[in-house]
Amino acid sequence: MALNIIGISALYHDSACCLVQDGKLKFAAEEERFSRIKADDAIPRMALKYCLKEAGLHIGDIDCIAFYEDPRKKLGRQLWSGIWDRSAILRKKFRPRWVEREIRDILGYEGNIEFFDHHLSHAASSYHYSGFDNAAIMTVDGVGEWATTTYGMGLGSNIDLWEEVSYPHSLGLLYSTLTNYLGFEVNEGEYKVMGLAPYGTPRYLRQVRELVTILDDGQYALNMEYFDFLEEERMFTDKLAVLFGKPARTRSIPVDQDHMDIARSLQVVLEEILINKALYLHRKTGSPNLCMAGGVALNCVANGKIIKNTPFKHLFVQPAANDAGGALGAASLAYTKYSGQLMQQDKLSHVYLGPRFGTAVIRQMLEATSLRFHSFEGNPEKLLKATAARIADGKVIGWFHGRMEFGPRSLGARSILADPRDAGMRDKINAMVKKREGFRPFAPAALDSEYKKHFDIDHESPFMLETCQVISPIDLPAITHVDGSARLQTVSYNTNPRFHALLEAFYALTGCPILLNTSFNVKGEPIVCTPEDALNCFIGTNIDALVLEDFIIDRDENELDILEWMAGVMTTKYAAARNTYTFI
Amino acid sequence: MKATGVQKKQANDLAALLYGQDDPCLSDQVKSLAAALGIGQLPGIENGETASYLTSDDRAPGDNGTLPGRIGIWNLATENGEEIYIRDQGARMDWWLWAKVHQFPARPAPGRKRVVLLGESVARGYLYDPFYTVAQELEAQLNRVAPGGLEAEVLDLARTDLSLPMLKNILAECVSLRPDAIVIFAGNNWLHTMKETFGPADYQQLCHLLDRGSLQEVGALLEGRFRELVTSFLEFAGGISLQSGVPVVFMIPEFNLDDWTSNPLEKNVTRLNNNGAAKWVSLVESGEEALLRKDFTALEDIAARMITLDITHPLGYEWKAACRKAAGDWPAARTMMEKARDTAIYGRAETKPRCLAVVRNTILEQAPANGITVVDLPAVFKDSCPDSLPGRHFFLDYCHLTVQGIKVAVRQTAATVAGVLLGREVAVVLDDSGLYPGDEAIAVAHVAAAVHNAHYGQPAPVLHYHCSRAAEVADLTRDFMRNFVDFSTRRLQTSLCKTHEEVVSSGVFTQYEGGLGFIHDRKKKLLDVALVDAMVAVASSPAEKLAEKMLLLRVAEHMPAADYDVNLLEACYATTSYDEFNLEIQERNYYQARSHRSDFTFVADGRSVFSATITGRIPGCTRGVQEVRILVNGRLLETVALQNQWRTISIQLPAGPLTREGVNTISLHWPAPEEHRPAAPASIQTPMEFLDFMYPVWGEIYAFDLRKAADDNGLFANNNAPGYTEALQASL
Repeated sequence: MALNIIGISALYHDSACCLVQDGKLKFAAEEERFSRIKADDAIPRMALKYCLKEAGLHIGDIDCIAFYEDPRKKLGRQLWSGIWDRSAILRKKFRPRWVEREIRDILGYEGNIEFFDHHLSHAASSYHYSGFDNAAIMTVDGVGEWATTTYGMGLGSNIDLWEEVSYPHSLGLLYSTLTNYLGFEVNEGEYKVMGLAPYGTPRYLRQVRELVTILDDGQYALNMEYFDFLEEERMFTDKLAVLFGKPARTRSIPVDQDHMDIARSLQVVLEEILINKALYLHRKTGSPNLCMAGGVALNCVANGKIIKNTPFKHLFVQPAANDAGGALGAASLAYTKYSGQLMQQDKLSHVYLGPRFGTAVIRQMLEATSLRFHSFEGNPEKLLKATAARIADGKVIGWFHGRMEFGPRSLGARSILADPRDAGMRDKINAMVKKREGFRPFAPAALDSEYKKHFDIDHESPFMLETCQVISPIDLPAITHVDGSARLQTVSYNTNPRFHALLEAFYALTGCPILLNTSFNVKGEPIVCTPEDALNCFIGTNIDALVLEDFIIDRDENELDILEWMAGVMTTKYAAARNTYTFI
Repeated sequence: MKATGVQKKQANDLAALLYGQDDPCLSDQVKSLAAALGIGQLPGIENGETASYLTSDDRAPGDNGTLPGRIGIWNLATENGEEIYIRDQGARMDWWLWAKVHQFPARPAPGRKRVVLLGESVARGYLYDPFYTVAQELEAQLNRVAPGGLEAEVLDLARTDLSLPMLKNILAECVSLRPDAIVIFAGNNWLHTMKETFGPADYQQLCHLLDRGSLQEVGALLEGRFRELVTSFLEFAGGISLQSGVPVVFMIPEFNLDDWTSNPLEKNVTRLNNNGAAKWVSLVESGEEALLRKDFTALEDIAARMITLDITHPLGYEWKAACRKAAGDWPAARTMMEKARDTAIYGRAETKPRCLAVVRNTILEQAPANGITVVDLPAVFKDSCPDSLPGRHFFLDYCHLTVQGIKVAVRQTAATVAGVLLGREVAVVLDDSGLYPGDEAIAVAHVAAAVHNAHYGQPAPVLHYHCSRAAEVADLTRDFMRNFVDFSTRRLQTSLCKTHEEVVSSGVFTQYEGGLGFIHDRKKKLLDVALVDAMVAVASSPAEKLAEKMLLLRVAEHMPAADYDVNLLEACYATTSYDEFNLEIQERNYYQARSHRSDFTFVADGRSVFSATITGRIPGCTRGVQEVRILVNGRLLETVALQNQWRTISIQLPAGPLTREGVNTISLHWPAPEEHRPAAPASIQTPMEFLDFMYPVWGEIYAFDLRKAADDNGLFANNNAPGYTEALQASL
């Protein structure tokens, strides 16, 4: 009988679940994809059901549920920080052993439960899936229990975190605070600030450095005069506006050059600190390998700077480096504890770990609708040519194929695809579907055999977690950021043959081995999971065509007014409630 | 600011104590650590608090001469120099909840008596609105009741889902509109507000009473709280009336006593002492047999014993009422059905709106002292049908009235309001107002009523009645029913189905949110077996093989295949209605039975062999294992053993004679709980814990999958093959 470990991250934000079977990651999914509540924090009951079903397991077959943080320690920090006294909701939620109760009562689990520290779970989520047999480890996020940043070393199956920075001093909270000050949503808008930075100049370095001081070893300290982490509405004090000489931006105020300059300054200081701490870590460990995790590790611009400016030779960032990935780390920690063995996991090569849907199911579904569609069953080559032709024709495609990705990035399973050569494509997609700020860049997906000719990077980047300069002879305005960079995904046949084949078809047709690839969702909603979600998203936006496995639905061949009206009403009337407040 | 080592240790120590505590009382060590850290709020300190209803939104009653900037969804504006209220574009999401009045003058027209109508969906004329409403009928009747004496305009400010706090707000606001009278037609939606007044201390008290078997005292506590709530509201409304000089008339709603019966969740079994649960099941099973035999003598005896055993359960009352109805004893039948209705106070499930006797009685007792005039609709309907109970002729569902029902209710109300306005007694005018919705609107109301009744657990005869009435009035509803049969039978979410799109496109369902009323919540689509069967019966024509088409579609969409499991815990197989045990309870990852029987629907071709895999457990089972009987279509298939931990079992369902072509039922009959999950009354803190205590779990199912046997070659072996359904349908 296999050793079955379920890893869970939940009850904060980005709740997720995974199954590690005999030391191998088998399935994983975020709860939000099933509940359709963005960043859902609920205990991941639907994601668990999915993992069990896919593996053919019963709940009694699970040897252990591993939870990604220690609720006692977290409560200690909440009691000390004052958030406990301030938040009636937090107190109302609290019950003795409430996490265990949730796992027993909501998930119905009767077996062993293991709790691992938040940052240890982050560390394991990277190191245990990196393929390294030794590595320096740095985790950086908002806050877990007490730690906000940790330093350590992975050797064999063992992880030793020997230093931490404690709350309230936190690079993640620094970034979130300025995200909040710049008028974006905390836990959501950090990507926007990163995207905004290249438009600015670092005119506010002095002010940002006033907010945080680099200390010896792994330490740094926030200047708490400027921060207030107990407020629900804002994370900063009035002094912050005085410091920057500008009131905090609200959503109705357009982003201006000052905002861009602040974002740039923040990015520069963040990179300075991370490089400083990575150098310290390298001095301490001497390992050529670096594993990073935590929400800050999703800052792909900083990651690129770290690898360029430190002696580390290899960097591994697990694609769900945010809290969702904590599930992977908790599971691998439990596996090593229970089996006494190393994870049987090679370097994580893909994250197509979510649900998939068969052609027969999709056909049955489409036949029940009024939609006209083209079937390419049994003829994938023709499907790919037809899809490539549409993209080359300037169309925006909803692409639904195979198992859904785990983590915040769409990597060719639930993606919106378009021609990166089209100068107007960024605005077009923003207007028709993403409804997001125009300054945010879209990312390229490139054939693994061709990417070096177009991007200044010497290694594959399968998870879209590194930025590099665009050096392509082809003009690629839709995926090139204002500073000439791009957040690249390299696509290999081994991990996603159909997406790879689509890139080849587009290459054959146009001479361009690159596609614009962005997540298949509308603003404020999770990435689509099921064919129904994909149809709803297609109907509610102006995507030109939807490729649902072996079928293509063209917008211009369908009359969608009624369906669009219904989708609009349902979006407003039946919108799932969101829990926007995060207890830190 | 950084935690010192000492502080960090103290905080962690305190967290460890709080997190791991079993004793709800706080220890000295906890208190000492909390004091050292300056923590003011600890778990348990807030336990004594009970939620206060209507605090933050309380408005000062009375009209100070200025117009409020907003009333309900209407904003104050000026148009052609006149002050008006117009619907707020920013509140478009809420428009559907409110009366479909786009704008109205802030002040009444000169010489006209302005009557403001406030109330719940019942006051909107749900399912006829906007083609026919209570406000329209009231205005028409007012202008007939005292010809020449009244020039009345009725301003409709009713709102679907109006809660008691909302009612208070709008009552205070609407005084500024200078009405001559305010009519309130409400009281169905107040149960939730009453429940919100309960806190941990109340739950603990209720659990102590339950533990002692004092069900009477449980009822008394709940009713006492409700009485306080209603009294408080009447005092508030009386205060508004007194200060503003605007008379208030209160219409007490009536309930569909003849037809509306408890849904399966409302039949959950109460925690009963002294082996009471086993006795209860025995009585229920004997009662079902007596009902089948139409042996009302036996049934009445059983019902009486059930009522004695559990006064909080509706079924004993309903069966007793059925016996009394059969005997023509209408007063007794009414009393029993009122008691059945009122068991909603015990929170057995999320019941549909209703006005309980305690609300009615409190209003009748206390309204006069608060200067409020009452129209007692239960008395009005009782007079209207002395030899029956008010049922489907007056009601579209539980409380929403038919055209006939609205006319009966408003006739008396108009006379009462006219009397208040004229300062003298005004006789009821028996002549009809002549105001009617068109045939199409009436038909749509009935077909929507059929759907609404089905979605809230009502039996086939009621569904058939409304479908038939719809078809009698307007033939177009047959087309709708054909479409409904299709989209309801498919697995695809309804809003994406071609046939649902046709319904919306037809434009005839304005009364039912333009057809969006047929849309289900995510993962809550029902199979609607009884409703679809009723529609097939009504909409079929000799030229159309609708029943055969429907059967083929059901099999194609829902029958398991050799490579495709059907998950019987999905809503469409595990439930027959949208009813919920409790909306506040977080959904669990497994099915919970709170009564002796769990029914699941599956679709078969009558020839195939299936295998079922069940992962189940019996909480509190201390004997090692207990037997669970599994029945298919009422016939025993197998007895399996489950224990208090998950156990997976497999069973075979042979082809015929147990299974039949089409819809089948597989049932699990649980043993009565010998022990309940441990929960001391003193530990109860939340509604969920209270409900778990009062309605214990009998059995739980984590997974229930049905698969066609791999070597079976039944008729529909390839039902999931592409185009299979269409090919078969085309062949018919």
